[in-house]
Amino acid sequence: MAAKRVKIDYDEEVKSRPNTMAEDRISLLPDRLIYHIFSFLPTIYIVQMSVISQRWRYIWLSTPFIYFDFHTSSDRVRKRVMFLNFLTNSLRCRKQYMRVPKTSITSFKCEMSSSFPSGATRRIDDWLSFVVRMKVKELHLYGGGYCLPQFVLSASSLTVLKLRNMKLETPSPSHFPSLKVLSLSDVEVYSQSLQNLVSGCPIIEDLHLEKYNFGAPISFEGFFLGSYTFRGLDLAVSGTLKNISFSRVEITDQWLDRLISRLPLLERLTFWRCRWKSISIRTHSLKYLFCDVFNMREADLRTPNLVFLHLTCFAESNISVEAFQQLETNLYVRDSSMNKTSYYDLVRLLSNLKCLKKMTLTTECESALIIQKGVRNMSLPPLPNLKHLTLKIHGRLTRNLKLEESLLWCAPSVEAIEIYAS
Amino acid sequence: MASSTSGSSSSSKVVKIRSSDNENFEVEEAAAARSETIKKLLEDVGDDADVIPLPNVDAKTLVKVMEWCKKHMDDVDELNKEEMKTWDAEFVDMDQSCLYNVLLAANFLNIKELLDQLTQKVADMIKGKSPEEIRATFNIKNDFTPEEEAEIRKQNAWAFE
Repeated sequence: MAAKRVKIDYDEEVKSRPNTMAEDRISLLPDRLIYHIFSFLPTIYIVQMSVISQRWRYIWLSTPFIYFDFHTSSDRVRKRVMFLNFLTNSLRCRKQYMRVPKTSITSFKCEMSSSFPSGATRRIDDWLSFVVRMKVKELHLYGGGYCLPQFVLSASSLTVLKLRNMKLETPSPSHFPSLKVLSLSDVEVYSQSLQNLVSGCPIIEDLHLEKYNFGAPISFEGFFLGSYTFRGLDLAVSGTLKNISFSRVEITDQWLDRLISRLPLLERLTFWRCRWKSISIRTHSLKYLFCDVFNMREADLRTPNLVFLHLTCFAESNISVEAFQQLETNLYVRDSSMNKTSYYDLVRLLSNLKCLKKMTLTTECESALIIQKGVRNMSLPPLPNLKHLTLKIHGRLTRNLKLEESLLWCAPSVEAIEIYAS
Repeated sequence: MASSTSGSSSSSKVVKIRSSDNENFEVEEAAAARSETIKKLLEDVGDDADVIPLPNVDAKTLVKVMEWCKKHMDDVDELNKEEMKTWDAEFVDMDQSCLYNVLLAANFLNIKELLDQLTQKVADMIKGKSPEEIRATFNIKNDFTPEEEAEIRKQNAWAFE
């Protein structure tokens, strides 16, 4: 049987063909795919599309995706009035249309602004009340310092809740029996409120907490994301959690230890631009660990089932990894001003990673990886079993041969080395 | 720039798939399994599978879809996200007839992320355009009488202000 490898030759052919296309194919797409397209469009465009043709006349009324974007048009004053009118009228129309069976609202997304007219908050509340009654599954609310109304905290149909740049008060435990994804970015919330929110999510799988800037700490005691620290916060999160990501927050070992010890299913852990002095992580379930931490000097990882590890650290950072099947490692070595001791440090660091199969190594200059003969003679190759090595260098490549020689010493069993410079 | 000192690609498992116009392809299993439809078929037939027929996708479209699957075979971490974004943006930049073919194929093959990228691309082509411009972009025929069109504009005036 004649079979062939997939080749990339399609583009050339298509581009060289004269554009004789004049058929309307978008109108022939099934409703479901049109709704999918609509899910990326602010609702105002979809309503405007009602004049295009019969096919597009009523379809906006049945789309399960509602998306308001206050930033859509340009003239500010006119825009505010129009936005209010639009919120009121589109809600009226959707309410009428909901009498048709089998229509539903899956997702409600609203991007607000701090220059919001006062009447807008009430209208957003009306919309939220409607979509919660319609058993909305996903809520995305961004901006404007809007405070989430209390009735949303018992929206039992919700599976995804994403809030950004808002206020959140949760005086009593929330009730989210279906919630799987919770994401808070730059949300003002007291630690007690956060605990109340999280403790009401019995089947949560994904948790994402982010603060944008490290700016000056806000002087409230126990103020959570505002003061960018988790100290004193006892996060009573459900043991169903599989994926946690922290962005731009400060973390302490003890706090994380207490959190992770309650999460037997935790598979993915991401720290993105976090502050943390010495890292210690102990968990059997973890498979993916991404650690981009400022000024990391020490890490002790007892994660026997890890398969992917990313670390950003220094050559002299003290890293120890206990992982028996770790297949892939990304290592970003910061600050490449190396002296002889740092080369010994680097060899020790590479060897401590216990990387089995595939490694991507990023540095700021190539000389950091050209390990001198003297150091090589005194050490064992740090990556004896490595098969694939990818090198990314921020800067120009000059001493390619010396570099390759050094890399081949580091990883004697390597089958392929790729080197990228930028 | 990229340079390679020594090279031998890893020998991972390969599956055979057949397009609607009877062309056979060999694709790495990990790439093909990005399609939930193919993944399910592979699970059902197990190792006995000779060739998996895909009656709804022609060869040209299949090449394109598999190009995407190959690129998206592995997990992408935070640092490579930007790189992948650029690649994806170039990938979806194709002419309309091709775009719909790949869109329908992604739908049939159940590749959620690809479907998201393609529908997002169509949405971007709609965004910021007047109804007239949308008709022109997508070759949509206006089947309203001028009176009907004026009436709809009046009814939905709150969206056209």
